Amino acid sequence: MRLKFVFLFLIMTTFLYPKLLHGQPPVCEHIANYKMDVELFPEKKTVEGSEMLTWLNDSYYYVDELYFHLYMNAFKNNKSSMMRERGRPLKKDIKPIELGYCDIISMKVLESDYMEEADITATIEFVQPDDDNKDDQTVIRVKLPRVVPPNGEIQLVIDFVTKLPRTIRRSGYYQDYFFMAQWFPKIGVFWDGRWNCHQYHARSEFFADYGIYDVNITVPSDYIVGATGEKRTAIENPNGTITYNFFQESVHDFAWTACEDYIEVFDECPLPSGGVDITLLIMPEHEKQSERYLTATKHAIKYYSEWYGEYPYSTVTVIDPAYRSEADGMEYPTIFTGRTNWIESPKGVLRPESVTVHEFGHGYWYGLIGNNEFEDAWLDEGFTSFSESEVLETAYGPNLFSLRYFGFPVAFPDVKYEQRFTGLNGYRRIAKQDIMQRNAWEYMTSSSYDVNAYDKPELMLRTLKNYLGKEVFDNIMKTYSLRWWYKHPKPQDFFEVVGEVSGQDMNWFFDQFVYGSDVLDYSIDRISSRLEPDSIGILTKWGRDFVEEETAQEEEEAKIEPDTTLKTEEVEEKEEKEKIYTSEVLVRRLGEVKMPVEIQVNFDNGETINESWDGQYKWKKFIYKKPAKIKSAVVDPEHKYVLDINYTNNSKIVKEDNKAPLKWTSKWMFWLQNFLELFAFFS
Amino acid sequence: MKALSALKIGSGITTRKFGIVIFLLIINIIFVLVLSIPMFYTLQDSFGDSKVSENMLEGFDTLWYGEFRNEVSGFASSFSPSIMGIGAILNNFVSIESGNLFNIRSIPGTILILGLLYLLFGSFLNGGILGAFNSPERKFSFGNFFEDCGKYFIRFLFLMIIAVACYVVLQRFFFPWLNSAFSSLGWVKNATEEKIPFLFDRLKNFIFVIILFFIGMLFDYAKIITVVEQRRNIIVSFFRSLGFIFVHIIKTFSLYYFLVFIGIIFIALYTYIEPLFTTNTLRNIGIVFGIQQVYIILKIWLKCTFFSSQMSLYKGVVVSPEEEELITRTVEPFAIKEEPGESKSL
Repeated sequence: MRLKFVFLFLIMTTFLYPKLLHGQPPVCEHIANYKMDVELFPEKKTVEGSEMLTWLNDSYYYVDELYFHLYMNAFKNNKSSMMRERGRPLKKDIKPIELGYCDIISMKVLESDYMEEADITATIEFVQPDDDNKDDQTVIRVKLPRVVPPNGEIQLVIDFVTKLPRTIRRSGYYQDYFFMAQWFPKIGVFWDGRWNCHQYHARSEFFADYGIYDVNITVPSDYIVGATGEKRTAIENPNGTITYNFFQESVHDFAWTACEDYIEVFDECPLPSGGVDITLLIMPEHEKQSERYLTATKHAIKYYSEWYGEYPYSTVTVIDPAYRSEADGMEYPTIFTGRTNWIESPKGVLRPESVTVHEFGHGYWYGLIGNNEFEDAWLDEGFTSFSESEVLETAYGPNLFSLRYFGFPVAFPDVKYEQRFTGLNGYRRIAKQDIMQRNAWEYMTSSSYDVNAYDKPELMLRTLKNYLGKEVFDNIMKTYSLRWWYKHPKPQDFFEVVGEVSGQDMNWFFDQFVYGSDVLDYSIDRISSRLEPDSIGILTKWGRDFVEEETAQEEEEAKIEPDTTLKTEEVEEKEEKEKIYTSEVLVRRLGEVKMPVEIQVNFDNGETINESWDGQYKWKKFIYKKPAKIKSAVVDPEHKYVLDINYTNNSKIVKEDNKAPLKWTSKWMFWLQNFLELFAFFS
Repeated sequence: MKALSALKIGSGITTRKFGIVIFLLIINIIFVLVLSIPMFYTLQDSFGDSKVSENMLEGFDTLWYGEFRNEVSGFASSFSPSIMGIGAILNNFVSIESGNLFNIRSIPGTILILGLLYLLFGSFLNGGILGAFNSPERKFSFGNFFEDCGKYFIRFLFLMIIAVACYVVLQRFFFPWLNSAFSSLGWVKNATEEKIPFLFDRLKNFIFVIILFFIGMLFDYAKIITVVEQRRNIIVSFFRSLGFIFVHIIKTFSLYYFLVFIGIIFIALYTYIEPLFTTNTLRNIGIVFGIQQVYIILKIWLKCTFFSSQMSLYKGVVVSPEEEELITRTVEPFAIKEEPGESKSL
């Protein structure tokens, strides 16, 4: 009987555990909880109010100081690290009213079991954990009157004023349009026994602990507000303002926007355990594109839920930001901003769809999986880019190439960009400039950040998917996603999931791509076929036997009458079939990255041979003796390794076909003919 | 004479002298072959022996293009998917509008040099074209044609330089000024919606086109006047052209815009017809090449018809003494000691 139970238990753990794991929503530990009361003053361009922060020390350490982000101080002057890194100087004629800052009026610790009430405002000091830029004021340190023990909780009340900048990057105001992101004093993450609280950088995003946000926002009553979480109440005030309450559990940031011009559009996306309320706040000039925004959002919710775990929040708010607000294409928990143009892109050109799917995707790889975007930007951007392409490919297919001529979009239906190769062009150009695993602000250039945070990891994940197979890879992604919801994974945590689910040690793979800048490039260097020559020379066992044999053969041949009849076609064909060709395929590894590869060799009699090569040495030659000539050869015929930087050299055909070069030369020639006629206008 | 009559007569003359059109097409093809042959070999080297050639025959391989763009420099870098269909025409309009036509930073050097040589050669040939149109009854001969080419070359060369200078001034000074003037307008500066700056941008495009066409018309008439009146002083021709346009503003502008409209019809026809053929066989590649050459022939025919129609208008308009006086007054400061017909050759 006991044996039966053991057997049943084993069955359950083997087959049902993964299902249970995927079926049960992970639980979030709320570390940093904010209760805020703030008011927007449009004339002054300020947000003023207070926050009550309840912070849980979930570490094994005693904590006697706290670190906070004051991100908005990055916009205070041109000396902040963000402004210095940005590369574009502030305009000389910029007015102070157009700059931004976050001032703490007071900071108090409330009384608790192990903390006496105290005003700690005087202990605030600016620190620069990332660089020596003493002018940067985006991080502060405060001393606590007493230590917070492990599992201890403290409460602070912080009064603050945030002066919004005229938007330079993501957050601020433009005319009467407001977008508030990184706008309040926000506690850092106490992680691995130290405060992880980086400065605001030009090329980095953010990192924070999960918590509950309960925020009262007061704005003039004609403003329409969108924010993180669920809008619970709206109370009209006698002074012509309105106070909205937004509430959301299990998120690590809170962003909001206010504008009189927004048009509100509501929709819903059904999911197995309920539905998600979608709110689209769209500018009037884009109203006719509402359906495109909403459809893309619903596709994203559907596929992300299917592939990476059901979307756990009840709302998502899509913002179509004002022109020139610089707030477009950015993600925040349960709210994100899209991007489009007044003149709508033709169908097949995925604008606004691609940005919508991308930014929603961050809701998973940044929102639900709390990566440290300062240190491991690729864990968010790379995964999001990968997932975006997967959703777009599934829901829309390839993206059409398009250009805007005099502001009007023109699509080129014959030029299709397959989603699975997105990022390859960018990556190829500067593949060796940096390694992927690096602090976001420490990449050599902005392009290098883009390549190593977005493009390369996307291509790497797709290469991994093709290498391991769809089923295994999908399981990896779902397991990794659900295992790390509401937590802070590091790259190693993903690698461990890959190893665990695939049952393979894939460190050789990650070592090459994550911690190295080597490139992958296999090529077919040469293919050839030649007729097997008639035997010449002495082929007998002993050389002396040859002389005797040849004499006997000559005597025999002399007796035979010569055949003077003409060969029939049939005979010629037979002879041709009997001809044996020696064919060679030379495959080379031109890049430093080593991967096992498949090779497909095609012969002119229709035969196809598939070969495998471990890809370790610099080259490999395949030789065939067949009554057929080689026609073509392809390395990686299914193009699984999308990281291969040169795809053209992956194949070789024996007979060059000039039709395609001719076709494209004639098209180019026509362009040039027109171009010369343009010069003739002035003649 | 009415504009439409001038157009009718002009187009008749051009059609009768169709040999000139074909000759100009051959010149155009010779010029483009200078780079098209190397381009063919560049493309052949790049993908001719790869399976990419199969994809490029059926459509456009964006992966290959990414690699190609990364590897090539010089004239080959001008190859892009936008040379397909209407893109081949629109790209060039954008070049002229954005001021990139004579910009070495925007156009590969070899193409720019080729363009400038074509411009120079065009100035040379215009003398022959206008000479032939000026004597439509005269039987066409290459001897007469090249004699006229040589006769007017220096004068047309200077007119061409002034025309290019006008374009450069327009791009370097007038448009930046217009841009900043528009940008400083409250509506544009403080716009929270894209449509207002968008509409102002299109207004700028429209102003540009109007001015550009005016330059084209002005220098066309200057050349016509030089040939018809055998004028030696191009400044006189230029100002007589200016005077003529303003005195007959309705006729000159109507004729010019009729011709522009015909050009738009040609573009529309090409845009409609070209995509009907999938260029994946030699036959279809040949057909599309043929269609493209027909379009270029029509374009050259139109260019010649601009000359012939405007020349017909200029010759056909009866200038009243008052109008002549007005034109003379416009020209007066520059018309020192020059009478029509004084100069026969250089």
